[in-house]
Amino acid sequence: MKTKFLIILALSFVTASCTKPTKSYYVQDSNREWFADTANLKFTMRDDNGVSQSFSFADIDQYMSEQGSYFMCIYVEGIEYEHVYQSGFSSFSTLNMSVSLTADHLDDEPEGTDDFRMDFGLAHYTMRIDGNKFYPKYCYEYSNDSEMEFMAEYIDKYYVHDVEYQGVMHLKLIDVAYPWAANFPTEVYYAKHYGLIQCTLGDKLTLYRLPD
Amino acid sequence: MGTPVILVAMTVLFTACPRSKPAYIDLGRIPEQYLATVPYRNGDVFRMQHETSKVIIDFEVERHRHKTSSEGYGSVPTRFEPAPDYYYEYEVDMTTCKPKYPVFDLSISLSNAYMLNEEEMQSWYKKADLFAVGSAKVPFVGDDHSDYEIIDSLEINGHYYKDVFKLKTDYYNYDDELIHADTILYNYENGFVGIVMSNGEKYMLYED
Repeated sequence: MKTKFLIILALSFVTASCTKPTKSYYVQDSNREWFADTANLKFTMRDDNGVSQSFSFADIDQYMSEQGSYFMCIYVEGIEYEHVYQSGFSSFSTLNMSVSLTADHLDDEPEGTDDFRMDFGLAHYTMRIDGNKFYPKYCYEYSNDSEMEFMAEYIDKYYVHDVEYQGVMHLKLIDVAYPWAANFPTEVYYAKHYGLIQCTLGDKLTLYRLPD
Repeated sequence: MGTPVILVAMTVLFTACPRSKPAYIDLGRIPEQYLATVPYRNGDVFRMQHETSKVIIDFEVERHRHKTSSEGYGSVPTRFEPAPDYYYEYEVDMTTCKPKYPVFDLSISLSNAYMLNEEEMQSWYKKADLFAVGSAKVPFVGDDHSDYEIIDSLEINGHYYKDVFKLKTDYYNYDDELIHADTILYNYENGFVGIVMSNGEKYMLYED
């Protein structure tokens, strides 16, 4: 009996260590367009009053996560799914942010959508995304462990300082009365291939991206 | 037979002869005349004006002093007992100025580590470190100012500021393409008098 148990245990270890994920999930190409291109990683933003600061984003990065299913301690099947992300900061350290996409691998989410997250350190916006279609979930604030509603819309063309941006994501918190931190972006305009182009901070100061 | 004996002998040799206890050097407190290099007190508020937009920004001051220690290697400075390695404890006086507007912090760091009397320490620590998205060093009160550009009298909004150091910053930790402080204007009486950014924007001390 003991020998059988040991054999099963050994086999389960061998199976677990040798089995490759049976299915791989990747972020849709149409969603990758939301990351800033290499040529657009550094830029300057100027606020309503004329005060400027620089922003710098890193190149896109990517990694795969694995998730396994087990039956009686025996590895049955596994999947792997892709994460793609890009992070950036302002040269004055007033606004650090990251944008990430996780490939769709869950059954209970809208078909064909990837998980999108835009994180500003104090809170993050999260939604499902399928190219130009957005399915907002919530804006999660870390300090109060609270989930706030926000709206998300796709805009074909949007102008900032006379520069036309095609394909813009517009996110806006619905509860504007909530005491958001002074430097938390309560409204964001984010363009395909460019990244951040405009944002309004908690104290109603708006920053606009300057032309290159 | 031979190898285990050698191993045992080496183990005994290395474990039975501990290194002598490192020297411990307490450098005491930062002298008052050096603390006077920084005119701010904890809780102070001062104002700077962004020159083109006229936006006035309040900076809240936090100032704290604490003891810290570092390891020293190699020969000990001549004024202390010789020892292969040593520790030295010194004081750090840290001033941080937080803006009530989304711009950069300003900070000043003082330390008496220069009292260790090593030449390198003298040149590095015997100055106040200023940070404003780029760093600069200003000499302590009473020390040699000959290498510094000093403006005898600077007028800002009808106020005159005397003996202002004009300090070019280092920006070696950052990307030169990003906006950073190019020049810091500083004096012992008022502290930060002005910050000239790499894109030409200026933040100047504002007094009613």
